[in-house]
Amino acid sequence: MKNSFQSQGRRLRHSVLAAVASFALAVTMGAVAPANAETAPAMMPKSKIKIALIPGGPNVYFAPWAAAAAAESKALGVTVSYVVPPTPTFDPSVEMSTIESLVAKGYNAFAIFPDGEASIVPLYNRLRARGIPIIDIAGCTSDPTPALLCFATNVEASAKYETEVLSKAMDGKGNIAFLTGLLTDANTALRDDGVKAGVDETQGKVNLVQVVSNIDSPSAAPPAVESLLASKGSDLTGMLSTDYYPSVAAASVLSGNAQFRHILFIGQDNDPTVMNALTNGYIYGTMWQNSYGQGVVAAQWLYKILAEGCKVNQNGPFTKVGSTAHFIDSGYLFVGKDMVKQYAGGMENIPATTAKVLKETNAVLSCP
Amino acid sequence: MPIAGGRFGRLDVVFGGQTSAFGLVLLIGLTWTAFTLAGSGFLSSFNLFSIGQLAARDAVLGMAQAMLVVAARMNLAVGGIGAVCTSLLGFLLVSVAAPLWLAVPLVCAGGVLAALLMGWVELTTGLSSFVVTLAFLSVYAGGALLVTGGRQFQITSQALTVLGSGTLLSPALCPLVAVAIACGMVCWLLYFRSSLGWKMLAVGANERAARVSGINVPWVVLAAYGLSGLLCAIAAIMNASYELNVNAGFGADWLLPSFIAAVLGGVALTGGEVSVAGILLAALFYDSLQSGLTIINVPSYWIELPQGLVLLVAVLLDQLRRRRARSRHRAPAVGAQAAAEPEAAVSP
Amino acid sequence: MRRLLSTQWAPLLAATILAGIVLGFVTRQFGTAFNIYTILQTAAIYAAIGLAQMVVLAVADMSLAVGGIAGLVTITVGGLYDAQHCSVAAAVAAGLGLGLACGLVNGLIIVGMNLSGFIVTLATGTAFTGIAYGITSAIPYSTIPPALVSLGQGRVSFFSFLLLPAIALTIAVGAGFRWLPIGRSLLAVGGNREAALLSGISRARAIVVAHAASGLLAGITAVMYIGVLRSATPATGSDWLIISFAVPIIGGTALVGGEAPAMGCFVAALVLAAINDVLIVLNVNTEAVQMAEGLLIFAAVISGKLGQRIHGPSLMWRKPAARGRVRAS
Repeated sequence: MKNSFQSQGRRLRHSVLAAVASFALAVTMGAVAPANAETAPAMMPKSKIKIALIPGGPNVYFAPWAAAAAAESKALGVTVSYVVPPTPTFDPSVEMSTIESLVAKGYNAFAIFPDGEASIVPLYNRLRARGIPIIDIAGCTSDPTPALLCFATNVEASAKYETEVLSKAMDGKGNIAFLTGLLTDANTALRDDGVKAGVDETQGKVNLVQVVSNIDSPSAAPPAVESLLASKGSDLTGMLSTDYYPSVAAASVLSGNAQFRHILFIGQDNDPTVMNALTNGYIYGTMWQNSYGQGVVAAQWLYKILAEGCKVNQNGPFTKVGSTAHFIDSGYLFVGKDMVKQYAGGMENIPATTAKVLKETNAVLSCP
Repeated sequence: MPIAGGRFGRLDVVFGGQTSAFGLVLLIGLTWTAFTLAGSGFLSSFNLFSIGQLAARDAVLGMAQAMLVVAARMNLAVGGIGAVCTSLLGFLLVSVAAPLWLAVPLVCAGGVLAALLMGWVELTTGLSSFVVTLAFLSVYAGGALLVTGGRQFQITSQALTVLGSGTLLSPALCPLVAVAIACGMVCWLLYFRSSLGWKMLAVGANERAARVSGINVPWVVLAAYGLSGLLCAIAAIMNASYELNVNAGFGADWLLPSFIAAVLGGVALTGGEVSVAGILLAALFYDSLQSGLTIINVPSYWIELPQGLVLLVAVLLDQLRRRRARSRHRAPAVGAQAAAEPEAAVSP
Repeated sequence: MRRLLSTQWAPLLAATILAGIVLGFVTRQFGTAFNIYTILQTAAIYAAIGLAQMVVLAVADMSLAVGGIAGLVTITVGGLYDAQHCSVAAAVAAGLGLGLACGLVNGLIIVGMNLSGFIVTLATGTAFTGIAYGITSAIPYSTIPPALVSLGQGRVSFFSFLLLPAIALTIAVGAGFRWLPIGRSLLAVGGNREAALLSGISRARAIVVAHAASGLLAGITAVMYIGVLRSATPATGSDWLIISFAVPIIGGTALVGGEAPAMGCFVAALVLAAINDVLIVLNVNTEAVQMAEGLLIFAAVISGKLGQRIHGPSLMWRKPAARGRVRAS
């Protein structure tokens, strides 16, 4: 099979490269990387550089990337676009075809939220075979991956930290419930691990009474949160969510129902409903992620790779998280009531972490 | 009852399907020209490869849908069967570590069985296929998620990888396209060269007349369900071949493309009419549209809108064509209350 | 009373109430005022969604655009109030008007081009969703009128305020089909096209009216739902498709038209909402919800069939008896 595919094409170059890349992937990724580095031009003039930030689909979480793209486009003087694949359900097929259309249009550097941690890898191989650098942002592809690195929220650590903060606020004991999203999402599994690890640390003093999963949608979240409160409300001392709609729903229900405010709730992200509930003291806090920073840092690094011929330093400050070893944390932050004023209304999410990561650029990239 | 001309009223419109295929070729030609002129890189081998990869799967989904639509039924559970087959494939290849040659037939058999069960329920209860397949969509999709617990299966089969992401003859061609065309040829043989296919068309055109003329209607309906399930299973394997990391969430988005491919391709929703070439071309058109709209810089949040509009315009144009064809054949008044009736005849 | 017992939803309601009482004894939380409020709040929304589908099913057509219209109305109301600073009344009126207009467009296309509602609403539903995402760039409006929040989340003990519009809609739709001439002609057209045609009732008008009413009902549902989430997102309605069919089918609506049991819709909504709640109260996997819905559709239609064997022919089946039927409840 393999041979007949390769020998028939007349314009062999591309097909061989692509085929070699996809086979090599199965064995190792290390062997491919140097070959790609050779095909990429060392320095590219600014006018040719076109960077795209690709979210998983239309979702408010990614919205700060649009601002990040606009800001970096101005700052770097190159094209930086934010292009949303038209799939509200994060279908990998749609994301892939969007990316390929952009490549066809001349985009030559990508920061991508992968809709499937392995689904998109064959596409990555085709991109890398053309010398196009890719950085995973907000979510990672699993090793071996052609992505240069993954810059994302460490969801497991974030969920663990969230659990620890909650447990501390509960004086180290009590019953908690955990609201989360689709089981088929790899991140949900990591968050679940993080919460369980956080609970285990208390050595039985904090009990995880119920996990309500698969409710990250506007119509599933409110009734699920209410049913949970109705049945376990009097037993719960704490509740946490790692996803968007359950957080909004819980903040909304707690805003309207004083009888459940003995339950300390920590939500996720900065939807105004959540922030208002926090300002009024109806919920205990919320975990922020650094979406804006993800966009900014990814754009700057991709720019340096193309414009200055930088390469990713294999011994850079990476950690191993989930299924990838080339991980850099984009930061997470617990925002409590006292910190609302400081952070409310800011588009930049967690600017301190962004600045800190940018300072490490020289360790992550080695430039000529 | 729509159009009462001859015993199998609408069978004679079958060749109208080719007009629809011709229209689609024209439409594809026009949009491709527009995309090429207005944007850059639409015709690059890279872009064509991705369009082919997606269109191949959607074409097979369209055929899976057509199998039942032709028999005046519908299959809302394409995604549900897809979820079951994908989970089964992942389970066999990853958890059991079964070889591919064993896993593929088993998955196909699973798809056929899942669909036959729906057919059996329809026949024994007498419920409409809409209700049956809607309920089974929930049962299958929910059941697959429940059984696998949302587990991810990382498929490493090299043969599958080559099928989904290798190239065929030219870097612009995905091997999956060959799979879709092969499925299309088998479907064409079924409908235009076999008595089973002819019976399916007859049942779709007028179930009562088919029964009276001695066709074993339940058997033909079961066959249509079984083949639809088989094609869903093939689509699930094709999807897995390029997405590799699979889970029970697969299939959630299949309903729209399956109907778009079938309906744009000229399969009448009232049954009894099919165009295999039309389905293949419709899938190609649908998937090149999304790619093309990105290339000509339509702001990405707005891309879903034209997708809906194109389906609408295509359906409208198709209906106009049918009307013209009809008025050429019959007195115009007779066909006036056709189309909108998904159910079998109710004679006054 | 005998007529009441012979309706398809009567055994369903009896079974649910019985199961509810048993559950109330087994788990003390099930019978609390807040839990019953939770069920009623969800049931009110489901009932409204179901009614939006039922009015179209009554004329033997269907609408896949209920969710799409709801998404568009949601962001219209949210956007007018939040971004354009319109008054609540103006925003809601504009939203409902838009819902009506969307339904009207569906109906006119279906009738004008003589197409099935299935394919037309598949297309327009996608288009409506597309417009909602396009306008908002997927970012929800979060300043929600307090009046709508009190509507969505307000309650007196177990009585959710959302029940008021839901009950009003159920009565209005039920009465409309029963006593209004237009309602009766919709059922006549749905029940038997030829007979309706002969008696001079316009099928075209009936379909346009049914779709317009469906659009309006979808709009009202969206307005009801905004306060529940306190956020006007274009994703509203994205997963309403199965519910929209499950509610009227379980409630006893025939897909071949001619029936509009509004009360059955309400009961079915109650049952589905209770199942949703019980699975979480009993800490069963939430993934089971989807499966339970599918199985319930079967259970309901099959039990309905058994009942119909005794009480007369059913309309749920592929090969309906050839006669004109006009029935409402």
